[in-house]
Amino acid sequence: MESPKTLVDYLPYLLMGIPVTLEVTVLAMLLAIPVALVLALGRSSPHAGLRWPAGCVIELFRGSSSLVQLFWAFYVLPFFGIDLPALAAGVLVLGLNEGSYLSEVFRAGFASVPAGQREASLTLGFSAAYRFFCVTLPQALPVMIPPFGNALIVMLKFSSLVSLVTIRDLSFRANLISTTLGETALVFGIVMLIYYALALLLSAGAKWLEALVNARVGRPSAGFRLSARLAVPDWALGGRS
Amino acid sequence: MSTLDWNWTFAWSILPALLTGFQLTVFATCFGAIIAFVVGLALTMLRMTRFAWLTFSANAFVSFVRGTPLLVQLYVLFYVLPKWGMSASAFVTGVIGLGVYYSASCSEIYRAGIEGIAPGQWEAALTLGLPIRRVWSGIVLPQALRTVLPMLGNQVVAMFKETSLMSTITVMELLAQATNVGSIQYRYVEPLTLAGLLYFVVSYGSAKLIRRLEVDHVNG
Amino acid sequence: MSMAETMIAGRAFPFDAALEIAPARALMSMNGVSKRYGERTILDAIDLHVAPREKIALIGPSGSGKTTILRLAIGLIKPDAGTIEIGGDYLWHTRSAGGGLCEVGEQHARRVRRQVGIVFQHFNLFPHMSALANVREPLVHVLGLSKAESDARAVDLLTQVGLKEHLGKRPGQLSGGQQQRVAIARSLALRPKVMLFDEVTSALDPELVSEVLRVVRELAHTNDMTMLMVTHEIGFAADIADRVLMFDNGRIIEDGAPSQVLKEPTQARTRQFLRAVLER
Repeated sequence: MESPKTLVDYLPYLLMGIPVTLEVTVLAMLLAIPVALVLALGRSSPHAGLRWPAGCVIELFRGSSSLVQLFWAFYVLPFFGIDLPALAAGVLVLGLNEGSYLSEVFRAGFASVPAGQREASLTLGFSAAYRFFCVTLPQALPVMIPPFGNALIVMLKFSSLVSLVTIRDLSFRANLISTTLGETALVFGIVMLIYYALALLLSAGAKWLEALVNARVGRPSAGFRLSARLAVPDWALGGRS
Repeated sequence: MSTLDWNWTFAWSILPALLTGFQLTVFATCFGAIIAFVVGLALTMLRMTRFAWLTFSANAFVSFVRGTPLLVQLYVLFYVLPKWGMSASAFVTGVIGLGVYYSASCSEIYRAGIEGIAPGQWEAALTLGLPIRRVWSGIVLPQALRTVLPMLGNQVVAMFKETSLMSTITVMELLAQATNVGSIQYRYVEPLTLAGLLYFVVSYGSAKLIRRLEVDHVNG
Repeated sequence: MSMAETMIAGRAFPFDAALEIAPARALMSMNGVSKRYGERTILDAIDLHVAPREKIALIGPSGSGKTTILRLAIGLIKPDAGTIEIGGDYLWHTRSAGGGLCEVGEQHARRVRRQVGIVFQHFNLFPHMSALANVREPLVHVLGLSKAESDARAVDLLTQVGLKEHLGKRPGQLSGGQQQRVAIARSLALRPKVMLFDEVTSALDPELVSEVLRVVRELAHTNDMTMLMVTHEIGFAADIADRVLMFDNGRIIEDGAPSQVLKEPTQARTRQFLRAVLER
């Protein structure tokens, strides 16, 4: 039985893992979104020269294990002369990986905008860029927010993988402390609770954003069915159903 | 600027080790899937009972499992279970961890399938006086399962890829074999690339197969 | 053939103590039945007594409560006030020792409503089973008959509704009219004393309506069946019903023989409704 006093000594060290975890999560997410957009546009492009590479990237990242991708970036890229710092490698892999999955969300979002919108925009003489940013995107946004919320939670969980390539996030520190102290239940229990709390926070943030966007764009929330990848169901946030 | 020098001899020599790991990966996926499907269904049923405490507990469990990383859950099972007197091999521990983690998302999938059943089906079954067990076993679940089968298939594919996390708890599956072999000469190009390729071929192929079956099912 | 005194009695005494007034001969009785959804009152203290072998047509605009009456009669929903009796037993109550009534739950309701069958507007057949399997389902799992016996009875029922050649077909392979006939056969399998028809032709293509009405008409004429039909087919109602009830805003505003209600209704609302419907 370990003495709680010793664990308490390590608590600050453990909690300092939270910013690291969040940093990885947020940075990777910030990369994933533009990546997803680019891939989605590429995939729906009429030019085969854009469609094909986009498709390949998507299938490649979705079709292989994220951990393998991470290890590959960390251990193999140096052989090609690309020596990335651990954080960069982690963020890059997670961002590209999640971006590939999210490209589908963008595509679905754009598809959900009624065709009449495009026709109206064309007849009104809007340029393609204007049409995209001021007509399509605002209307696609409300539908896309819940899956993005899901993706954020998934990213949080995936961020734990970077602990295996020497980044000192929550999981890394938990592992280290438990090995040092020899008592694992308490440490990992605490870490699980921290991750869960973070997940709930991020989920609440996504819900708030959804409400905000819905209020601005004016489309009633269709009770969008949460995808199977969502970490936190509605009930846990005191939401509907 | 170093050039890629792929050592075919080396690649060939490590293949047996990788395939041994691959075998373990496949077993882990199969057993994990069985656990995920069965436990997931049990969880869904628990989440729909009349007893509020039971429903709440099941919901809390699902929410918690889905809200925390698989990596940490594996650590917990690996380090904590033996201390509570339940010791099992690393492989079994990993399979249980994987299975339980995915049972939560399978539970969500089952729930979506069941809620997607038209209320008219319930009404017809109940007004015919069918006992509630038959309503579930003969009417609702057969339809729900048929609908969500592709999604369950995707879960298996995802599980296959996440078996790689078991390498962190000393299970010598595919990724562990690859890193092990690579660490000997600090030469990771061949092992990781080959391992990545194996993951990709199986996963991409399975996903395509599932999509094909999905389309066939929809078209009758 | 209308049980005049029971009808009038039902309408004149719309309160709960109508137990003594409800005639012992009524097969189904609703006394002071009310149903609300939030702020809206769907049914307002309804009294309805159905004699054995009576065929009653329920007409009226949407939302007037006709479908709710049927759903209450088969116990799919529970009334907020009042009692429902079927074949002498209360659906949601039992008589306690002191002679009063206490509420009971699902189990009891299930037993009592075995005497009632319902056919839905949207058929609600089980899509993963053949027509035969659909009809066989209650025979096997409610009556506990052997597979051989259930098969025999199911074939018989499906033959009665004219679907002998389609036993092995799935609902997806049948037309709307055929599906509805399977649904009728399925509901008849348990030989209920009361059959409820909830707008059974409303979801059908016009040319398929007659085949279903034919089956219902046969049932009405050749059987001891007691029937309640919610329908928009006024002509059909006039043809086979002994009694027509006009619903409006949760109340029964007309109750009488078809010749009276449909030709000389007493209420302006009824006249208005019939005019609108018959003009189509």
